[in-house]
Amino acid sequence: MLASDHFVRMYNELFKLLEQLGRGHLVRYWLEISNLQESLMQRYFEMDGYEGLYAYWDHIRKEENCDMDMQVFDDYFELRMNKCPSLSKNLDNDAGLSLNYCEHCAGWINPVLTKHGFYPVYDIISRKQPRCIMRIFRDKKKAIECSKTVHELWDPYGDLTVREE
Amino acid sequence: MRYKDTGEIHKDFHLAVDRTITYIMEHYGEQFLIDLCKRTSQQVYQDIYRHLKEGDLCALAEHWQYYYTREGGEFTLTQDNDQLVLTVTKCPAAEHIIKIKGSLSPYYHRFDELLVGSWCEHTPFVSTFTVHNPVSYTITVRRNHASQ
Repeated sequence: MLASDHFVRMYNELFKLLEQLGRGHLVRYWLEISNLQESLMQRYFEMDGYEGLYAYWDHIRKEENCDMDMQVFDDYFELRMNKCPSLSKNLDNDAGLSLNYCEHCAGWINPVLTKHGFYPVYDIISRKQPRCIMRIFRDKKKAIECSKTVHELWDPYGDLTVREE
Repeated sequence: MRYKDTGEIHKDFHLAVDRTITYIMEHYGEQFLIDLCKRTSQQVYQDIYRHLKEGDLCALAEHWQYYYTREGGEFTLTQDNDQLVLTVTKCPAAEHIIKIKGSLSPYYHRFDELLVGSWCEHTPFVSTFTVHNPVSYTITVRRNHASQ
């Protein structure tokens, strides 16, 4: 049995292997896990809007021992990760950190959120510091406005890209 | 112990492992899974692997004892200088996956077997992995006197 505590160190290795094959391999794996993620989040989407998101990440906060703050505002839900347990474990990993490690998070959560009518704005801040900020909007225009203010936006599928008509 | 987690446990990670194993086997084949297991056992768990290469089973025994206990597994672990036998009657990971998803990946136990096999590679030990039922198995890591 691979300890559940150590899955993140195993997939840090998987990210390295897939990246060697090409970026598309990594993205296809994110989308595979995204499908699983959706099934795990389904009951939270059945709750009321941002409150459902709050409930989901509150469950994650407890089970994954996250140091994070969450708040529901009128226009968005905000998650401030003060100490990400996942990146922290990989900063303390004898195999070394995959430098694109943080990308997987939006890689598998964003498709689920956008499918359910939410627009996440994910600020990685730094790929070597275990903190980030995610703000999730119902209104795409507000998400796009917010995305212009963040430190290091990670929008893996271009959901916030403004396309010229 | 090099890694010793405390606090709550997020068992849904086992579902991600299960899905990942199937995905790898169906898209990349067994050699890719072997490569991943080698990196995990020998580089992530470098400390356990180093002890095994030095002929010492204690780090692996300590790891199994801690994490099967932490996840609420039912198991026995016996050890002497030449052999470590882990008999799992209720694997917490397999049990969680079956509870949520209904069944294990057809390659689930193969993944476990490869992880242990990778730990033993280029060490004085060899391993056997025997599945009794989906949540029960025995792993034996024994000194390979023929190699010495």
